[in-house]
Amino acid sequence: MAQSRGHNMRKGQALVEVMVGLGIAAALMPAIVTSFFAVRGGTAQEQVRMQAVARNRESREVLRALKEDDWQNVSTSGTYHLTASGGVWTLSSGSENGLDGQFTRQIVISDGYRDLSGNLALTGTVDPSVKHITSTVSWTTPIASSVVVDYYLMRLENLAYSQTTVADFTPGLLTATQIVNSSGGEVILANNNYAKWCAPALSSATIDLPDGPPVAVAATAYANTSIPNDTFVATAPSTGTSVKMAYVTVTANTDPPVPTLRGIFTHDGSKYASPYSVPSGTGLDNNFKTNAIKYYTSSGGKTYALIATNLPDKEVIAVLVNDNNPSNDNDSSGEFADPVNHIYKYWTYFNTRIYQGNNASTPNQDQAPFDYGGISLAVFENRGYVASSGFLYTFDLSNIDSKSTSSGLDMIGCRIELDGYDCQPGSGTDRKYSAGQTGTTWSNTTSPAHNDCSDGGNIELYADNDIYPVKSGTSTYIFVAVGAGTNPEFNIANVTTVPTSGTSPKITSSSCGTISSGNSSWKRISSFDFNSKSGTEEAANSVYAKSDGSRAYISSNGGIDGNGDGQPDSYQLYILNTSNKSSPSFLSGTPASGATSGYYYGTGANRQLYPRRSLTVLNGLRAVLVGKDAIVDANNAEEYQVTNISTEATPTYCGGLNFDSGFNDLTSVSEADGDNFVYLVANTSDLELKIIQGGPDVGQYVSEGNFVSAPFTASSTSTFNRFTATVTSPGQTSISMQLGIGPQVNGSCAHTNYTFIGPDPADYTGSYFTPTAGIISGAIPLTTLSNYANPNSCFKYKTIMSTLDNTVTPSLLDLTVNYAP
Amino acid sequence: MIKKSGFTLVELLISMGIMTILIAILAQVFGAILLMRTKNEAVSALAQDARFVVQRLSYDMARSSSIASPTVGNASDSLTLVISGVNYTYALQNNSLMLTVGAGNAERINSVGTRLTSLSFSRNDPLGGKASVGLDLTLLATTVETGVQTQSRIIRTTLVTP
Repeated sequence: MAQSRGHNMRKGQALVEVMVGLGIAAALMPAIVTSFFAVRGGTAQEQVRMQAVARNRESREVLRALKEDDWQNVSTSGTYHLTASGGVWTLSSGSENGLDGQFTRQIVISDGYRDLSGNLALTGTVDPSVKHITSTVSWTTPIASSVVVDYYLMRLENLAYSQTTVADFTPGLLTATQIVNSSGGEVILANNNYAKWCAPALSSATIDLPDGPPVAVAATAYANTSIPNDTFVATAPSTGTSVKMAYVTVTANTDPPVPTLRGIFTHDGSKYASPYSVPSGTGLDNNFKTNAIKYYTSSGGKTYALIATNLPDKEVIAVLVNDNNPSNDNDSSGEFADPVNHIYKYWTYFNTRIYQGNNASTPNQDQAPFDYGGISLAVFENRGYVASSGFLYTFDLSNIDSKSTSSGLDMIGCRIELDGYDCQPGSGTDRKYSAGQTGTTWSNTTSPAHNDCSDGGNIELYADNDIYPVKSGTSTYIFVAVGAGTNPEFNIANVTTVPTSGTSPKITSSSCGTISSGNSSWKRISSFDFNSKSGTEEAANSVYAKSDGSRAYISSNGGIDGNGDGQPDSYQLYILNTSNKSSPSFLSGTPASGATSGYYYGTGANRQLYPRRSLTVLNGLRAVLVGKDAIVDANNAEEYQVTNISTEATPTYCGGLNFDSGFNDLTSVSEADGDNFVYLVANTSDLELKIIQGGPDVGQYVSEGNFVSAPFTASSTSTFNRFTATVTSPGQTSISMQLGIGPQVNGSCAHTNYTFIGPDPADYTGSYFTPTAGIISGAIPLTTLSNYANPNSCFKYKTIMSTLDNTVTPSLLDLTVNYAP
Repeated sequence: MIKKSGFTLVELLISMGIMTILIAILAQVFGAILLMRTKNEAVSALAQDARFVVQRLSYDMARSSSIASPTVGNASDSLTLVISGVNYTYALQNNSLMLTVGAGNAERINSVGTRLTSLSFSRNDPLGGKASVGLDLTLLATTVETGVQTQSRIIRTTLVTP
């Protein structure tokens, strides 16, 4: 049994083995068979896949071509497909189904990013010059699958735009810069012509003032140079002149400056627009001359024009030109009596008196002999000073806001006697209106003889032609250019201590303020009497004080050839040493024989000007004289003459302007940025206000300027990548650049508003590209800030130049910007 | 006593039966492998030719100065590229893609393993001064697979000059 069982088992094992083998085969066969079918099916799939790859290649090829045509074709993220229309490939949004009857094809465009290292990444900072493309072709049979190509498109184009020639630079905007062609076209700082005082030129900016010819001008600049300068012009040379004053603002920091007539003052009813009319009950008619003009701004911020008139009871009138309240500029409750025709209000007046409080209610108690009234006027600190008929009167401006047409300005102290007297035309004699005299009591001053009122010309019609206040230490002085008559040509009055009822002499004393008996801190303390170079009597007509009071600049009589040597007798400019206020003197020379230094007079074309002459001094370096051409000879003298007084012992002519109508007055303002502007009133009846534009008065070039290029318009929105500029920057000079990129406005880059920025991400607008070894270059910021936006299609650059040495200038030779459209 | 005996008839029959089955299966497998090989040859030839044709066209287009035919917006059965002033014309002749350079003889581009049954070129140019040629061709394998549909490849793509 065991054996037979063993045989049985062996037989059984063979069958079992077969069965096991079959079982294994049965298990493996499906896999093998399946793999056969898979391979067979894979072939079909491969066939489709190859076709899909070809279609995907098409996407890529066309997309590349579209990108290279215009980056804008691919710059907007989204899902697209290709369409061909009219033989032109374009991208349409959405995916494309049923391609070749089986494919779905789409192109997904998304932003490209860069990591902190600048490498392409899936997150980070968007690089506007890179797009991430995912191009897919998918199908569903025989087996659903797809071919995906993932790649980046970049702006590979690197186009360049250059400016290097004169023609390239010319369309740009030059601000105190110029284009020259000494090495192929470059931009440099402008020549310093504006205020190169020794080569002066009238600005093209001028303005027509009403009536005239204007008599006098005053002007002021503000600490903030963006606020226009104020200019006040006295416009009535005769009593019949309708308009008495014009107020003009001048935007001095534009080139050219822009003068704007803001308003006028007149009491001529015909000038008023209905329903406005001349204010009644003011006691001021329109029958007066304007002799001088100044301005005053009160602590309340109100600005007044102060006008010296020939009126015996209103030697000075104040006109409100700005009540510091913009809200009422269009009605008559503010500074305007007539807001339509911009006629300002008469505010108050000053009537000269012998002393403070002296018969204030009685006009005409003293002076204004021969109808001259207030001749010269000055404002210093909170006081006004007016010279009239040989006396100096001081009045209080600090409370002007509270005054009115019926309550005049308060006199300060007593009048101060000056040298000088008035000419009585037609009388055959000149007469002195003596100190202490009132009413019509006059004394004949026939010695020295002035028997025809024309000695020295008509400047001598006026006793004291000009006054100029100055502070020296704690004392305040008035420098006086004495015109007609008595021997002294120059006075210094001390106006430091106001006399009172307790001083000696008392304020009410007849000797108060007199030359002989006044208190030395309230009287004319010194005079200077000198002769012309030919030994004849001089007369002065304009004075200017150095700011520390140590020098007085005087323009003299001039014009007359008394000794017949063919030249005017006078020097037309004197520099006096006034360090010692008690004894002014020439810098050298004796009064009797004339100055031996510190004077100037011209010959030929720059010879003496005829009165009435005015003077101003610029930064202590240049003295400017204006007047009318003398009538002594046939020479055509310059009516505007500049004298270099930087070496004060030997002032020399250094430049001038020929303006045959002549000038009646001038004034200068020094701006906070160092510019000096000169305002002139011409002896004409139109375009009367002339301007000599400010700037530094040294060197060949202005101190600073900038150049903004004309816009470059890229063919399409482009990424501006880098720029390189060749510049020169000699020692003491600097040059820097900023860039502006923005969109077209109304189809033009000319209308684009550009924001210029520099390289610093922390302070784009405040940073600048600066040169290294004569090259300014850098990567152009890819950012958006205010009106700056890169990429875009409009490009401008701004070059900022400056120099501390006005004999050298930096220069911009060329600029090239690289951009990728 | 242990009887020594040969295979029983039954055993023999069973063994032969199993052997027959196995041989039949293996023969089928062998046949399938042969078929597969033939097919793979055909597929390889098709893939190789398809790639080569596309690459060759792409290469010539890249160095062409202009495309004489077809013109923009049109389709044609031949493509004429102007390379260095010489016309390179691709056309279908006798089921082959033939390249004729200038006045020379036509040269066959595809291999003997494939034949072309259709060829069409079309022009749709993108902007920007580039030319694009749409290519539509059908390749058939010359290796015939008995009883099975002939292997074919359709290539539809577009090539753009750089």
